[in-house]
Amino acid sequence: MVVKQGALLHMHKIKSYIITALYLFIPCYTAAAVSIDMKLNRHEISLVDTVDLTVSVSGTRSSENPRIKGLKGFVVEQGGTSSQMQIVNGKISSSVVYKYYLQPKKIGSYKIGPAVVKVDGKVISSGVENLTVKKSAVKRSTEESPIFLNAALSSGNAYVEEQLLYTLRLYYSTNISNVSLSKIEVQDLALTQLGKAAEYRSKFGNKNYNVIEVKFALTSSKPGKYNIHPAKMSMSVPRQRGGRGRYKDPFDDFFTFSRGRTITVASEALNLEVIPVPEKGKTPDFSGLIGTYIIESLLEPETVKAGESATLTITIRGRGNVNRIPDLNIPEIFDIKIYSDEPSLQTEQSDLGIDGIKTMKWAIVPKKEGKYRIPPFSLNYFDTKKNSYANIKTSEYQLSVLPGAVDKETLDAIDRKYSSRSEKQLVEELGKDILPIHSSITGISSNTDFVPQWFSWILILFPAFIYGGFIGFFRLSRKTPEQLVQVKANRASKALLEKFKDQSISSANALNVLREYINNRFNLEFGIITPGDASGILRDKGCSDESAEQMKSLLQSLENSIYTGKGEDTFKSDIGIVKLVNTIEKEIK
Amino acid sequence: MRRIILSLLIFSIFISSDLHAEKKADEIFFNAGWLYKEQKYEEALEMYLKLVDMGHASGHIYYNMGNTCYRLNSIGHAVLYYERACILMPRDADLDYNLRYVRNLTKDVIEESPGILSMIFFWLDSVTLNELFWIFIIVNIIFWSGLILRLYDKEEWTYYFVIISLVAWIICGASFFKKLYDVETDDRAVILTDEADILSGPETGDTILFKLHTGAIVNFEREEEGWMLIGLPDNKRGWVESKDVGLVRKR
Repeated sequence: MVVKQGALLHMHKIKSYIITALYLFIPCYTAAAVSIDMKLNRHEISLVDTVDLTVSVSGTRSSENPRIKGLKGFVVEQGGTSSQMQIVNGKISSSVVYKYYLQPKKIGSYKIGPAVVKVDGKVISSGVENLTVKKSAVKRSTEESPIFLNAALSSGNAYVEEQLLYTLRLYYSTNISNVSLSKIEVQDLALTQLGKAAEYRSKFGNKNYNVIEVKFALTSSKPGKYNIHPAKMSMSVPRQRGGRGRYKDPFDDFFTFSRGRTITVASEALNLEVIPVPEKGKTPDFSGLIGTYIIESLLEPETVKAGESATLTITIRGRGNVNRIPDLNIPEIFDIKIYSDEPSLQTEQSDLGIDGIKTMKWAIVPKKEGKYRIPPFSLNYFDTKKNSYANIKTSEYQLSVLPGAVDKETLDAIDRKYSSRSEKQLVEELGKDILPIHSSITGISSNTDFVPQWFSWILILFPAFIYGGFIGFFRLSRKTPEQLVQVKANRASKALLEKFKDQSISSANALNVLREYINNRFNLEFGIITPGDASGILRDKGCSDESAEQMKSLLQSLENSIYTGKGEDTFKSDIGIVKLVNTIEKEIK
Repeated sequence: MRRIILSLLIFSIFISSDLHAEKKADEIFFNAGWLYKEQKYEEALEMYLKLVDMGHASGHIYYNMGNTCYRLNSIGHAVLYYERACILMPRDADLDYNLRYVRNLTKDVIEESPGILSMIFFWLDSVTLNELFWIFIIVNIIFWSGLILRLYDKEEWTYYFVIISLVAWIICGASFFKKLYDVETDDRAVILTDEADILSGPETGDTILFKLHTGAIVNFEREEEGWMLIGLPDNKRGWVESKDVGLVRKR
């Protein structure tokens, strides 16, 4: 009975599962029709504000991205996609929600929409939303807003590849967290963030603010007019709660902070005009450097002995398109060997921009004494501070060389020293010649030409012959069955005579020995040979009747001894066994 | 007793004469090297030739002869002697370098594609016939010993031993006989003059078919009254005066 109740309970459970499953899946067939809805979270904004646009496609779990008309005047940033499914009273409703952030580029009135989407080959469109962008609201809202983002360029005009500073400052007077900056991208403009963001307090208007400042080095690769889109920063801010006079829980800030809402603030758009460097004043030796640069040099020591080395170091440092700092070449100087180090370029970031330092080093090894002039090195670049081309050069040096050891070994040692110091490089072929002769005496008699002689063939064939010999020996030493029988037969008489040497052999044993002899001698397989059989066999094999009869009577007498209970008695016979066997052996042969 | 003493005496005479010859060869070799360093190349070459005549035709001697001929600006002879040295010491790095170097100095472009067998036996260029012979002899002994062992011991390991040694025996044997064939049929010859006319027949008045320059390697076919019939891999054939050509393999 208990078992039955348990089974019923189990059945009920299964039923409930089936019903739930039906409840869940049957409504699929009664899903709602596909529709699209588009909404703006605000309809009146300032130029520096961002508006959220949400497009919901209901009745489907997936759809292609909607196409939205009227977004030309906005910078559009996608805020992500989410899909939802709800079951209400057994009816499934699923939808896909697309979110966008719109940043207006200009003031004016805009009609956004309709949003159009294609689902299962059917085109569905939403309604239209109106949005007004006001200019006056910008400044006022900025001054009054507890959070705003300010963008600034170090100059509105620049030369191609000139380095400018683009600064973003986030002013805030309320608690914020999780601040993030959206990527700023403008075609043909390169932005490199300069270090970490700086945080400080500042005053804007009459209000105190905390400021987060992020700086970028901005360079343009092409001339033209650029519009730098508003930068956007997102952050979490605490939710506003209740009205005035409401009791403020001291833990409110703590707990509500975690439940803060995310807001996005945008800076104003900026314009930049980039022009190429002027042709006027440009010389053929223009290095392509734009910015501000200095050149330094050092020769150390200025007096050396012949065969010793002095080091010439040239450093070019500056701010601008530092990656273009060229590798300078030292001219050839007669009687001086020059070894160049791999030039090194180091870049440093500061709040003022990206600085670069290129260091070039040469080891100068004079071969002879005397005074050598090391000419100055010059660099032509465009100075963005003076807006003109500038030429900078190093000092001229005079290297005084005293007498010293300059033999070939010293120069080779210096060669090795400086060649191993430098980075890997292609091996330059400086000369062509064969390698020297071999002078070892062992070379005279070694490795003479091999000509196979008869001895060689013997060496090759000898092991095979040996193997053949082994095979022959192996075969010879192995006896055929006929040979084995013959051997057995030959040994039969010897075995018999050996056994009959024992004077105390019993009659039973003597009978067995004789039977064994006949079996072995004539290769028979009889178990027991009767006296009649034995005499017949002996006659067939060529024995005389007399011998056959003697063997017969001998066997009979032995059998009689066994049958009369005298089998274990010592064998005695009138017939000489040895003589009889020898006679038989002779007769057989 | 007298016989024994006489035998020992004769033996010691042979040994001492052999040692004396060896000592003399060492002396010649040393002098040739010294002459080479003194840039007396012709005299050095004479010394080396003398050594070859004395039976010391080793790879090192031929290598030095190649160097000497290069110094004498005789690229053809240099190629010839380097090629001869290459047969005797194919893995010598100096020789390899010098041979490639002098081959680059030759004018004629003669390209020979290696045959399938040469590609299969790719290692043969790196070993001498002598080395291959002794390797084969050792493997041969191992293989036949394995077979003899197998006659008396039928254990499993003897079976695998015989199989492995059989494979080695086949490879070594095939390599040795291929190399032997290559050496015995080596008909390469080197043009020794600066420019050699290759004629349609073995007479001075015959038509000039083409010209070859010093260091060019050709295939020798046969010799008739001071003329050699030679061929090129692209099937060009013709006669050239024997004095203008050197055979890599001495006959």
